[in-house]
Amino acid sequence: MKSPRPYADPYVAGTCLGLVLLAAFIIAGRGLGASGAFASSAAGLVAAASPARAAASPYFARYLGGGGPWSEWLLFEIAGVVLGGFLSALAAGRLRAAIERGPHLGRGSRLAYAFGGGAVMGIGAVLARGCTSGLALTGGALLSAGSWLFMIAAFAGAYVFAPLVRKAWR
Amino acid sequence: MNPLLAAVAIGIAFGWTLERAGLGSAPKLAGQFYFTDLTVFKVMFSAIVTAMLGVFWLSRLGVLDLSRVYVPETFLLPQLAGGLLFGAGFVIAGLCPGTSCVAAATGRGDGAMVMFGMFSGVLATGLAFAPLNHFYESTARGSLILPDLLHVNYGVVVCAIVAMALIAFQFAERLEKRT
Amino acid sequence: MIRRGLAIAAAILGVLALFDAPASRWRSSRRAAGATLHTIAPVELAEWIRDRKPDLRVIDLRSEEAFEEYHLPRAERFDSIAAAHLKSNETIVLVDGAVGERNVYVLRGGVRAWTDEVMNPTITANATPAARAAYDRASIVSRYFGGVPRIVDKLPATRVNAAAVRRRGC
Repeated sequence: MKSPRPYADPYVAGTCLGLVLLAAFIIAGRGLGASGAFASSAAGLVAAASPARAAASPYFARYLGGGGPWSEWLLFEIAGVVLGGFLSALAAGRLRAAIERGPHLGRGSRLAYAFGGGAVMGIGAVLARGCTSGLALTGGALLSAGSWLFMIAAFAGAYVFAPLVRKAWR
Repeated sequence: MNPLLAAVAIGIAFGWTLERAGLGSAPKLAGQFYFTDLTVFKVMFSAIVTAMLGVFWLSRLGVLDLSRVYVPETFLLPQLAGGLLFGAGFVIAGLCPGTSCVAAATGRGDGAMVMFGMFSGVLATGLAFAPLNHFYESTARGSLILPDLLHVNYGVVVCAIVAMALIAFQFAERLEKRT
Repeated sequence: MIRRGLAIAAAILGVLALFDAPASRWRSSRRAAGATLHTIAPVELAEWIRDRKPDLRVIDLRSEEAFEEYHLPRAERFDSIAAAHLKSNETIVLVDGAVGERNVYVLRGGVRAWTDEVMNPTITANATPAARAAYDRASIVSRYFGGVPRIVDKLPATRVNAAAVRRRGC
């Protein structure tokens, strides 16, 4: 079992991430994203279960046009993210089955926080039309006003809530 | 290139880079909000500065046609509210949508649970969306960008953001050494 | 060491960005090609000419004889309008002799839009009925001019489906 290699320098990694984003602009005419993949698959799932329900939701209906929810660009990109993350961890000896958590939190509690935090992020991402990848990174680099607003609000929301969930991480 | 194939390729590079930076690990990400590990800030803003400078200069040199790049649109109230909620969820979960996929891909069960939570949140919001639609569509400003909002040249905003980032990085290094 | 190099590179590129052309360049590069049509009153045009409004071109549409007999100060006349070598940053005023008004149109998107939408209308197999109707209408006139309407699996990468991204978010 390879011992895990140290992480890359954050500034170098960030620069590489910026170059990936730039490549996306040039190759695909759009930036990165993540939450949109969740939205599209949710729309697809609802449509599969009940086309009427999906069409009735003004949010899901957007994903039903064009090529349909399963040919959404972001779904394919996220599949790549999963593969890329896996390959990097494999190469660096960082593949590990674990439930990562703060030193004073049990596994069960950690999973509850993960689910709850994820759900709240889901609501926020729906309202804002994106997340850190699509808005903060992509919109930030393109100087979109709403994206910068989202970024500042997200950091603010996190810092305000951090003391309340301190026991989860410290 | 086939656009969906390009999406996968871009995604692979994205996921690889996130994992290399250590952003597939929730405790590391959470450290940002307790000032112990500011990797999130350093990676995010290095990326923004790099891509922003790249966009500016490639456009200026005529290599990139900015009119063919989609600029995320501005919706003031939904993005303010959504941002606050997103941030709260982020510090609770310790991972964001993209990094949760990287965490799950590397074997972290908490990453998979964040993905499941995100999916559930999006699903529930989408199903209960009708009363939210009015708010969702409110305060639209189109493809509003900072230079137009502030009535200054594009290059001025670019320079200001680079300057603020470099100064902030200095602060971040000092802050980390202290805690 | 590498951090210092990145920081210096960023600082140089950032400072150089300050010496950027005025905002109009970015606005025009972000909008699709086209023009805005206005009418102008004689006195206002006279003020423009007197004040040497920069990049102003006054193009006389009348015959050579009429032009020789009398023309506006700084007006120009061409047998073929291409000889005028009009530039995209110029303000163009057309001056006519006829009593009453001409209908003047400018093609939105220029020749590129014509080749995209008339000569090569393209649609995906599972597009919406509205898009299909527009495609059918375009196909009829496309074939008349020897164009090639196509139904494809995926729209070409260079033509980002901006409308879809706009509806869906990231």
